[in-house]
Formats: sequence, C-alpha cells, structure tokens
Amino acid sequence: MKKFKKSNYIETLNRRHFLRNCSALALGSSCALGTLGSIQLAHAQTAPANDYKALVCIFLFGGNDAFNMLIPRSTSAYTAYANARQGLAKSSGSLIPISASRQSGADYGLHPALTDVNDLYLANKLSFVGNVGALVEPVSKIAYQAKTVALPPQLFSHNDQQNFIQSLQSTTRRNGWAGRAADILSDMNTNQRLSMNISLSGSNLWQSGAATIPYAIDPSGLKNFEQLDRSSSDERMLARIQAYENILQQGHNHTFANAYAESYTKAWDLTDEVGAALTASTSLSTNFPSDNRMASSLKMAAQMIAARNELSVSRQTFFIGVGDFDTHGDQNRRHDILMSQLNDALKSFYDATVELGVADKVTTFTASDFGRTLSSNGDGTDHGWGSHQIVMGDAVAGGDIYGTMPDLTLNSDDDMGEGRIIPTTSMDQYSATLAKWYGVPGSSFADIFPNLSNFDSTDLGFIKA
Amino acid sequence: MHLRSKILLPLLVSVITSCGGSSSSSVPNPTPTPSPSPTTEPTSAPTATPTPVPTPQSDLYHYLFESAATVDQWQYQRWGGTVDVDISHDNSGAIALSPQWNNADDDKFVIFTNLGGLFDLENASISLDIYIPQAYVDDGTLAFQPFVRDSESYYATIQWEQSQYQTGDGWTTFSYTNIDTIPDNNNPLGWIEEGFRISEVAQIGVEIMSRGKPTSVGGTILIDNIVITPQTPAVTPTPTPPPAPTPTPTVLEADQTPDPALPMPSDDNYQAAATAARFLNQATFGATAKSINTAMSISREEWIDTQITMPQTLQLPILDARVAAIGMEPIRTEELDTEAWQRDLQRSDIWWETAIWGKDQLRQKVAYALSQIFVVSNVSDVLFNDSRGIANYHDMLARHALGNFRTLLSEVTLSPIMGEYLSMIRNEKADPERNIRPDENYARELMQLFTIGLVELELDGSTKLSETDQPIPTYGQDDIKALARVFTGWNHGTVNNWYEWANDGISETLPMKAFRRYHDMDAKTLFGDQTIPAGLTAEEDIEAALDILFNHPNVGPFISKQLIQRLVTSNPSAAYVERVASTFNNNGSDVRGDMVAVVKAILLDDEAINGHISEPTTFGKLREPIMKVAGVWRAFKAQGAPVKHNNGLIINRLRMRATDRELGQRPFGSFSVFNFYRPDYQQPGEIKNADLYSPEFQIMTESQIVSSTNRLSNNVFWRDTEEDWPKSEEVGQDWDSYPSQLYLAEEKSLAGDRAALLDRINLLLLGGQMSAVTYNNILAYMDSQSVEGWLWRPMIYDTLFLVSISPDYAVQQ
Repeated sequence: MKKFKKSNYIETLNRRHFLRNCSALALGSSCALGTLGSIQLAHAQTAPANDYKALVCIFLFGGNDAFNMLIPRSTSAYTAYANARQGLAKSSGSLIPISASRQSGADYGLHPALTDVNDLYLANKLSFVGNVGALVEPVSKIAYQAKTVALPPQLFSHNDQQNFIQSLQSTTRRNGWAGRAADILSDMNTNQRLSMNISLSGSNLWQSGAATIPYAIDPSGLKNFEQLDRSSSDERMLARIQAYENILQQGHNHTFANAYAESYTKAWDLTDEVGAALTASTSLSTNFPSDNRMASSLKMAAQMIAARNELSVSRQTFFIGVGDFDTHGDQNRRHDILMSQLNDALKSFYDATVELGVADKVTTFTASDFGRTLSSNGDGTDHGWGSHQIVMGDAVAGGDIYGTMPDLTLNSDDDMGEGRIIPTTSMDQYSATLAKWYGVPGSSFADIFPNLSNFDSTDLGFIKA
Repeated sequence: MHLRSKILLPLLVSVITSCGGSSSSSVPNPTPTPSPSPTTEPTSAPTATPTPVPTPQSDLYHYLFESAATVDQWQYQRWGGTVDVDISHDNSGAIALSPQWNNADDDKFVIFTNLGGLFDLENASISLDIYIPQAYVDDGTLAFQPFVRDSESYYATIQWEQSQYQTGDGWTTFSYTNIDTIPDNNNPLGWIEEGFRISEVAQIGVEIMSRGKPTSVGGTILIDNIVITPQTPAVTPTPTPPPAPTPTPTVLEADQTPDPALPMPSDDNYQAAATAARFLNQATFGATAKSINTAMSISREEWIDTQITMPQTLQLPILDARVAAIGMEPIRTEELDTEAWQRDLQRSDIWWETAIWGKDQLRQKVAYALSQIFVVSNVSDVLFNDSRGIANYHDMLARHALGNFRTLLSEVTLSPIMGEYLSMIRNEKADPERNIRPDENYARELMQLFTIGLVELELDGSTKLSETDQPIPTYGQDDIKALARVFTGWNHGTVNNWYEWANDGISETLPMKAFRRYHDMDAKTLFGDQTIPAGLTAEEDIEAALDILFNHPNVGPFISKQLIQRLVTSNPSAAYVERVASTFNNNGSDVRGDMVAVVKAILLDDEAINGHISEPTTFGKLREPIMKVAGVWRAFKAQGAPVKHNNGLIINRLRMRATDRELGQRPFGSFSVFNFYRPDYQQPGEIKNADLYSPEFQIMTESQIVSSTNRLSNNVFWRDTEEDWPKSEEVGQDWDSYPSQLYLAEEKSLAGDRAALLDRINLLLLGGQMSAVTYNNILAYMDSQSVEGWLWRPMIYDTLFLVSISPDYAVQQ
C-alpha cells in the first residue's frame, strides 16, 4: 500500500475503500476497482505524459446561423448576402474584416462580437471550415431536385440531423463517431474505468459507441453522495454504504434494474476517483466568464484536462452542448448574444490550454444540427442545411477558411430553396480530418466514417502537417 | 376647440345628416383666430386625461384640442418628400401644424390618433374644421383628406379637398355623412383598401399634401373639432377583459390525518392491496395508504370513473391568489421583470402541490404526460415572465387530458404560450417586397412531435415499409411550407395592431387572435392531395389543417404509444399499442380522439395489469427523477417546508423549482421541444443490445445520479414533522429548492417491527414488488442497527432512503 502518495485524501479514501470491500465481500467489483484505481493513480505519476490529445466538440444545439458568423465582404457577394437576409443582415461596416488565402482573395468578415476569435484567427490559432453539412454523397441542386442522390434521413429535422451529424449513420440503430473511435482507441488510456469520452452535457450520441458510454460530469463540478460518502468515518454511514453496495451488486432480474445498478456503481466509483484526481490536479488561473454555460462547461473540461496525469489518460473527447441556437424569432438580438458567448468561451478555453501547456494537444471544433435559411421569416430563420464551422488549437493550420464557400444568392445553384444551402463539404470529411489528428488509424476510417469514401478528399487540410 | 365651431357644429351635423347623401360643406368662418388671442375658455384646462375625450351622452367622439395634452396624443408621420412638421397646441384650442415644405414633388404628411377602441362607422358621420392661411388658397396646390384605419391598419380615405376652393385665413367645416363601403355615388369614402373593415375602425387621421408648391407659400394650418358620430353604438372595444368570475381556487393542502392500516403480506387482502398500489403508481403521482385503501374496494374502471368526476385543480386561480397573498398584483398590465422569479416560484410550488396534494390525480398525471409531448419550456427566455401563461397552459392540458384530442390540438395551437415558444405568434404571410416567408417552426414540430411523426406507422406503432423495405416519410418540405402558411396572421389576444407586443398578464392566458392582413389566404395543399381552399379565414384555415392532421392514420399509434410509455411501460407490445390506437381511432361510439377512452384503454389493458408477470425482465419503465420524488412525497405525506415571505407570511410550500439542476428535468423546463428524453432512446449497453427503448435513461447520467440521490436523501433524513429541526426551519422566499418535511407517524409506529415497517414501505412505493435480495439486504441492515433511544429514527430514514434509491424502486413495473 505504500504506493499511495498522491495525497492524504486519496490514500485514506482508497485504503478504506479497499479494506472495507475486501473484508466484506469475496471479491466484488468494487473491490477490484478500488485496487486497480489505486495502482493506476500511482502509475500515472511516473508515466510520460507527453502523449495526450483531446478533441473538444462544441455542439450548438438548434442550428447555428453561421451565415451571420462568417460573412462575405466583397461588394457583389455582400450584396447577394444582404438581399437574401434582408432585416437579418449584419451591416457591412460592422463586420470584422479577415482575409483568407484559400478563398483566392475574396474578402470575408466576422460577426462583430467575434473580436477574440479574430485575434485567434490572426494568430493562426483558429480557422473556419466553410459550408459543412450532413451528406451521404456529394449533392448538386439538379440531383437534389431530380431525387437521384442519397440524402441523410429527415433533413431539416432537429433531432434527426443532430443524430446524423453525431453518428454519420443513416440507420436507426446508431452510435456516434467519437464512440466508435473510442471503441478502437480505448486501449491507449491506462485508466480503463473512466470513459475516454467525457460529456459536460449529459447523454449524447456522438460519444456513444458499441462499448463506449460517455462519462457525464456537471459543469459546476463533481459532487459526492451526501449520505453515501465513502470518505466518511461515520459508522452508520459506512454500514449504509455497505448495505447499498450489497444491493447494487446483486443480480437483478429486470434489464432496467440491472442497467440502473451498473450505472449507479460506475457513477459512485468514478465520482470518488475523478473527484480525487481533480482535487489533486493543479487548479486553473485562467479567467472564464460567468453566466456563460458554454464557458463554464469548457472550464470544467479544462480542469479535467489538467487532471489528465492523475487520471492516467492520454486520449479524451469532450462534448459541450449548448442550446438556444434555434433562432426562428427575435434572431438579431438572440444571435448576437450567442455569438458573444461563443467568442468569450473560445477565448478563455484557448487561454486555459495555453496555461496548461496543451494548446497543441487540444483541438476544439464546432458542430450544429444544420445551418439556417438565408431568407428571413420576418424576424428569424428556419432550418437550413450547410453551415460554417470553427476549428481551434495550435494543431490547427489557423488563419484561413477551408472548403468551398457557397454562393449566397437566393436560388443560386447552392440553394435548394429559401436559402437552404447545399453543403459543399461533408461532416464525414470534417470529422475524419479531426479523427486523423486524434489518432484514429486510416484502416478504421471505413467503419467510423461510413460516407467518407463517397468524397474525393478525406483530409481537408486544416490540421498542420 | 376654437370658439365659433363649438357652437356651430351640432347644427351642422344635424343639417347635413338630414340631407341624406354625402356632401362636403364649406362654411366661411367669420371670425378667424389663427393667431394667439386671449381666450374666454376656462383656464382650468383639463389635465392630461387619456384620449379620446368621449361624450357618451350623444355618442360623439370629439377632439376639441383644449389642452396641450390632447395634442400630444396625435402623431405626425412624413409620408413622402422631405417635409418636416411642427405640431403644437394653438391657444385658441386647436392643433397647429407648421410644415417646413421643401418643395419636393411628393411632400406629404399625416397626423393621426388611435381611437382607443374599435368603432363601427357604418352610416356614421365624420366632420372636422380646418383653418387655412390665404397663401395656400392663392397657390392652390395644397390638398388634404381625412382617413381612417381599422384594427389591422387597413386604410380608407374619405375625400380629397383642395386649398384653392377654400376660404383663406378662415375656418371651414368639412362633414361627411352616411359613410359606408358600398361603391356608389353616395359614398363619402374615397379609396378603400381591400380588406378594410368599416366595423372595426381604430384610427383617424388627416393627410396633407403639397405637390411642387413654391417654398415661399407656407403658414400654420389649424385643425379642430374632429367629430365622429356613429350611427350605431360603438362596438365593444378590445382588449376583451379576462373572464370575469375567477373560479374559487381549489384548496391544496397536505394530508395530516392518520392512515388506515395496510394489509400485511400474510393477510388475505394483501395481494389486492399490492395490485391496487401498482395500478396507482401508473395512474397517479404515487400510491398512498388512503388511495390504496380506496382502490382496493372498487374496480379499476370504477376508480377511473370516480377520478373523471373530480373537479379539476386549476393552477391559474391558485397562482393569482398566491401572488396576491405575498403582496404582488396578480395580473399586471405591464409585467415587471423584477417580479418574474417570485411569480415562477409560486407557479412551480403550485405544480408540485397539485401533483402531490391534488385530488384529481388521474387528470393531472395524464396532463403531465401530455406536457412531455406538447412541450413548452421556460428554460429559454422566450417564455420569461410568462408564469400565468404557463399555469394556464397546464390547466388547458389538464382540461383536455380527459377530453378530446382534437380540441386539445386547437387549444395548443392557439395558445399564446405555444405561440411564443414555437414562434407562430406574429408569423406573417410571405411578403415578396421584404423578401420574407412564413416561419416554419410550429408547422414542423406540430407534425413531427405533436401529431403524426416522421414516418408512416402501422396501427400497432411499428414503422410501415415501402415496397423496397424503406420507411415512408409522412411529409416533405413542401408540406412544411404549406402548413407554415396556414399558421400565419396570429398575435396576442390583447393587441390591436400587428406589430404590438403584449407585456401584460392577460395576454398570456387568452387564445391568440387572427389579423387577416397577415394571413395567407391562398389555397394550401398538404400531403399531395389534401387541399385547404383559398379564401378561408385564419381561423378556418387552422381548423381545416388540424382536421387533416387529426384524421391522419398515424395519430392514433403515435400518440397512444407515447402515452403508454409515460404511464405504463417503455416497451409496449405491438398488440397493446394497436388496442389503444384502435380506441383512439374509435371509442366504440364513432368518436375519434376520446381521451377518456384512450386512458381507460391504456390502464385497463391486460398488459398494464399483468405485464410484470408475463414480461418480468422488460415490462415497465424507469421512474423518472420527478416521479421518484413525487412517489416518496405522496407515500410519506410531504408537508412542504415553511417559506417565509418578505411580507411576513409563512406558508408550507413544496419548493422544488431547481429540479433541472438536481434531477435533470423540471416540469415545463425541458431543454428543447424534444422533451427531457426521446421515446426511442436506447441506453447503450444491455438495453440497447436487447433493442429495448428506455427514454428515462437518457437523463440518468453520472452527475444526475449523484444530484438526484442527494435530493432524495435530503428529503428523507431528519425531515419528519415530529422532529425538532423541521419545526424551526425557515425557507427564504427566493430559494428555488428545499426539502419537504414528511409525516412519518405511521412508519414510526412500526419501528419496533422492522419487517412490518419494510413491508409497509414496499407496498407503498413498490406495490410489494421488491425483490427478495433487496428486501433481505435492507432488512439485514435494519436488523444490524440499534433502535435504542433515538436511534430508531435514523433507522427509519436509512430504510426509506435505501428503498428510494434501490434498483427495485427505480423501475416502475
């Protein structure tokens, strides 16, 4: 037991846990977990920590209107944009001008709230990927109208598109691409109890694989069971804990009761383990804005990354889902606030990765249900298709716009109607580019990115060579 | 008013009216008073009273301009050119208009005022006096005409008058009688916009135009004595006041009366009690000793029939009474942001008190199920400070929970709360000039989530397949666009103008009202062949569209299956769904959508009654966290916690508004319209591998497991009303969550017999279904604990807590 040196807290916790379970049970699962956890916590101290990578997905639930996030500035393109958007158009003078060498000299501008995003863009820490969307295969307007092309199921429906974006699968029995990646890569993490996939926003398809279930933590931090506190020395508490462990460890006839018992067991053990690791890890000094759920979720993700050595993990994904992007009404006011929150959250999170020395090991990207209609319904927009996304981190080849930017003229060849823009880059391509950096072997791409082979390029180039 | 016309006017009106037809009369006014002059009017000018100044005794609407305040109620708007106008009060008692003409060809402006109601001007008369400086008469290019607008700003002009025919530097009275919209020679109305309703005139004004007049020609124009004489009495102005007689609020109070003894497992009637408890856990927010006792003695159907006759607990009147009790105005004409939090805390308390203490349990349970289908949520700020509206929305769901689904669809659709939540409110028809098209939000979710779903279904709820074995989409984007056009032209019931927003407490509870100007009147075709003809009103369009959706064969299986999932089991057999869906389609008396029949079909089905025996490993559902807390609160008679309000009032409340944080869900607090969880969610692992659905697992994440367990334990430990600690509790009025005290007298009386205590808890919470291993483990724990002195109390708490977080209680079987 002399290996317990992380802190007195952990030592006490684990020793008690170990002793209690092993004395009371033959060899229950908790006992084994306690032992393993202790050994690996100790192991983490000496293991080289250089090999670490994290993918952070910021999912903008509801469908972000990215056509008001990244906006053409050249005269004719801006005119087309302004004509299409009417009262929703951002004034050209308000845009933050950026240049993008890959868009052959076309001028673009950022939503005026994205001042820090602009700084990151200028510093080559952040790029945009233009007109990404849910595609099974490349789609032209003619093929769309003639119905001669395979499409993702139920375009324009929120949950179906969230499912497709996260799973890239058209079947009804799905799992997520980060889940499938974790199924393959989970051996890379010494810690086999903690899921490779950490969610700050509860259950999600993206991180669920055949064998992988995301571990959900609350942005406000980890709390322990108040009446089942294994670190307590209260006799009654310990007896109660024993009784409940006995109940959980029984086989339960009902499938749901069994799944419930498993979830409780896992939650309980991981709360102890992750809580101890967070306590032992360095605390962040980077300032995160308050009253910004995206930022507080990212802050918790950063704290988990700070504890990567204590947790003995070398690959992690984080899922941060934030809502309210479904701006059917009152869009001008609401979307400005959302852009401002996105700007502040990205800025603080990037700064935190610098503080932790992992800016090149953490790649952050946005995703969303879909883009929105260019045309207005009076004071908002409806469900669209293609949309622009942000990728951020020192591994990103920053300061550029990747992909093919669409023509924003209503009824152009890029518009399938009402300004629903046909994507020119698929989510499979976007995701595969990220996954390649993360370490998913090319041999697994066909399984993880089922539509990828329908597209010419499997690497969009936004990760540094 | 200026002096002379005050005397002149009644005479004129009577004279001209008697002439029959319309005419404009130029009467030279012998006493021009364009410049300030000493007035003989009383100096005690009226204070700023609301306009208009009605003179009800003769039905005259009379603008006299005696004070500056009355002039302030008139607005000026430039309609062309570059003219600017100073509007002021002339001391002679008139409105003075001093235009800065800029010699533009189209210089034109209007002054206008709202009448403060809607008036029927059929056969009415309008007259006004105008004073025109001589320069305009000499030049002759100035023209003016009165106009009116209706409730939706549809516009009708009266008649152009030209300055060259007027008397310069003098007053002229123009009078127009027998106004109607019939296009004949007798009609004083000039141009009438299509759609103008003469029966709903809301605004009057005067247009003044000068085309290409030299800038040297100018001077102050005075207008006075604008009089409307309705032929028929004014129609009732909107807004309509809320329904006057507020129902007497139902009294919601905790149960403090002793329970009947419950049968023990050895008793003959134990099985009947267990069966009753199981049934009550499906049909109510949780079994209680008293409800078990009642349900044991009658059939399920008799129990349901009794429940149907229970008066509905109405949350809105209770909310209004509570808000008043804590010192706020219940229904404000201008709601205050600063009150929003307190109002919503009261609303949330009342939701919980209805669920736990309400007598109409079945209705409320079905309403809660419906609230997870027809989702509205104030998580998004769209419904900020709409607590009255949400309470009323709940009451509406509860009203139709045992009514008819078709009526429910109408009421949901016209609810201003749903209107705001899914942005149907102020959704206007396409306007090519502004390049806008109708909002698709409500149209899409109404089909996807509230009625027919995405793909065609068999009657048994399974997906219908095409010849190529593919699911068949129920609708396409064209259907969304057509349906979006149906839902155009609706705004709050209290507003009279399209672009008005309502910020009052009444509008939240009134059905939306149609504004035909913004409604798309063209034909709409749904599903390829179902056409709603052109020319229907907004109201008729909605009814036609809802009829089409309601009669779609998907509705029965789509809604029935979800209601089964909410009440009974996550994985109903196809045959069970088919039986309920058939009842939805026809209750036996050729009525479709009869909710009582549907609820009976769900709860009286053999699968609901015996599923736990026939499918012991899969039947039932995960108890969602709200139902776990509700079950404990009902079984152990939650008494609330004493909330101390700033006005000194202390009342026991069930204060649980923070449940989105603590339980992962909150009534009317879903993250999106897709509810807390999807009906087809499959928990990864053995549930998904078995291809089972498990909606409630979607929110059972690690963090929720910890926080909801803490919430349960907080409610159990040391909270019984006998203890000293609860007696001294005080809950701050702004706190959003606080454990309730429990009434544990019966449990304490059983403390000496641990098995009897556990049996009672098993029966109440689990319908006697606790597994032997769980039972034995808990009993062993109880046996291991001393009950000496005060120690029997924590033994009871431990037992309650362990049962409430056991895998057995987690699943309602």
